[in-house]
Amino acid sequence: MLRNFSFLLLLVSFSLSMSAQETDSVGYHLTNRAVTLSIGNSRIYDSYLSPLLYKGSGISLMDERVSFLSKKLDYLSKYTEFACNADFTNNPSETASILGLSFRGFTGVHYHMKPIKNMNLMLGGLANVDLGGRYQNRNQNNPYSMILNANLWASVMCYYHIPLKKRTLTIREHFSMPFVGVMFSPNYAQTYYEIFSESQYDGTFPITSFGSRFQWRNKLSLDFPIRICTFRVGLLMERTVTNVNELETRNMNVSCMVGLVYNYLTFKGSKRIPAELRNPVE
Amino acid sequence: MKMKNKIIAPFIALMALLTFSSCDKDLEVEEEDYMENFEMLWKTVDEKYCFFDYKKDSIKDWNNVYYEYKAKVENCRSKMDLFYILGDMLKELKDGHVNLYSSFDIARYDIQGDYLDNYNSKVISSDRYLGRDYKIAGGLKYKILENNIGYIRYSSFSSSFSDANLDYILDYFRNTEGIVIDVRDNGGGYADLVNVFASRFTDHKVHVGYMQYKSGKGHSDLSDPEPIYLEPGDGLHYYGRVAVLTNRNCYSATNDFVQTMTVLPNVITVGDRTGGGAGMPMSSELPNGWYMRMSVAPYLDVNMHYTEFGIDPDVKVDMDEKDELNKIDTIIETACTLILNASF
Repeated sequence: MLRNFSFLLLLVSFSLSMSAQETDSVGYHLTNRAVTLSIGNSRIYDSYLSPLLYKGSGISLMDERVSFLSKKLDYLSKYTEFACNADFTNNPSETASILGLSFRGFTGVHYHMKPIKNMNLMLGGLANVDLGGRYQNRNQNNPYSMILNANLWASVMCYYHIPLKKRTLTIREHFSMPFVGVMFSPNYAQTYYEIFSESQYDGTFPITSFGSRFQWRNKLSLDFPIRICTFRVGLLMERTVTNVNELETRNMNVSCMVGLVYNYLTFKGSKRIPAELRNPVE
Repeated sequence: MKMKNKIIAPFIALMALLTFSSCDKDLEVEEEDYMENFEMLWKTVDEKYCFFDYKKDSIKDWNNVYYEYKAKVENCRSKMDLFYILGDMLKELKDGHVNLYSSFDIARYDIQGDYLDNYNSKVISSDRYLGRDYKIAGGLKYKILENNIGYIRYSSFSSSFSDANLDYILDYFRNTEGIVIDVRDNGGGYADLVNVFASRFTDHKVHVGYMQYKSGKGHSDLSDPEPIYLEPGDGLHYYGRVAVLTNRNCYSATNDFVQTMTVLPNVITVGDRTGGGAGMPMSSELPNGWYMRMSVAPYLDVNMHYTEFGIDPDVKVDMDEKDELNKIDTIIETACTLILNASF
């Protein structure tokens, strides 16, 4: 019965000093996972909803995973991320608000380099999908602005490990920027009634690139172990500017991140803990 | 150490540059600055309003309007004065779908003008018509009149109704000589109810008009007209004679309903010219918190004519004052006569 189960072994980050046991399964690769909550400042400008810049707060829950592609390809790692975001913003006179809610998923591959000691530099590409919407509480025929886009991103990730006496601190920098994609946008003053009730979809899924979608995302964080847990604190910044169908959006989010980081290993059967484990971010 | 600096320094420089470029200073506004509110209102209308070309012979040039009202705003001394100056500026567009909303008033264009009321609710409430024993299904009031003609009073497309409501009404009217649908003084509401209602009076797909939208910021930037169709609705249908009663206060979705019904073969419109409002409005707002709406997506009839200024009825009838005193609705009586005489 037990053989049919997948066992999840949670290994706390940087706790490889735990006593190794005899095993024949060498070369197992860990998955580095971080679950973080971000709270911060949010600004939304969506010319379809309003000519004004809305300001407020945003909250985001993010789950990131980094793992090697396979045992042999230990210079390539897979990156996945799922996040849900909510923004609560008001117009300058605080007489109307825009509520934003979106879900996003990333997946991609990075190539690993070690330019200097203790540094792991990863260059790669990501693909992502965003799905969600914004709701303005006062508009009549244009209260919603749907968020639906898919993009290909260039991504640079850098881990720098600072060994202390007993523990190791890790500084991580992750910068990414989309270079091509497709996004949903109504035409300039087209209502959603015309699009969805009258099926007028022409021009509502334009291809985007730097000129029409300029976006970047930066995550700077510090991982530090306390007892058996590794915590992450950091700064998340994201800027999105789109200009399609003569409609402009500008968003800026600056958030503080807090969360947990851990490494885990999945394997089938009742095997013992492998002796040799490789962490993709080290 | 030098190698490390070479790797980290570009990151820091790039982040500083990107952060600096994300300030959006150009979007910051002075909420109570009268001129800034005026400029934003004028510009929003200039870029989004859809009837500038169509109304070029009937309204003032919008650039001239700018200079005329800018001078007024420069001499404006109070927020309330500003509201009425901006409201007057919007009235220059002669469009009931262009409004400015504040917490103390709504600026609006009077679409009725010199047209007669052509509707009296007290007459409709008399025993000759709805009386007190009428039935109600959703937002629709209905009754079979003494001459065996079904009468439906629909006062607002904002009052919803369901397919089941229509089924009950049409089943109740199945043995009538015809139906009078009274949409006078119906100022509009939900556009999707237009098709729900009209779809019960056709057994096949009908081309009922065209739709455009503002496709760019220029006054002439309109999309190609896309045909719109009326599909037969689910549930009971009525293929007998139908008279739709209209007056000048049939506006917006009601104007669209009248436009749609005129395409159907057994339908006649009776009464007065509708109010128009054939541009679907969108909302916007000003820095000081007032908000507004304006027409951005025009509807056209099957002959590709705008109906922004209204639709003339097939049979033009005004309420007769003597009839009105005797609690007789001249327009309903005319419609009933047309139905009973099989005049269409």
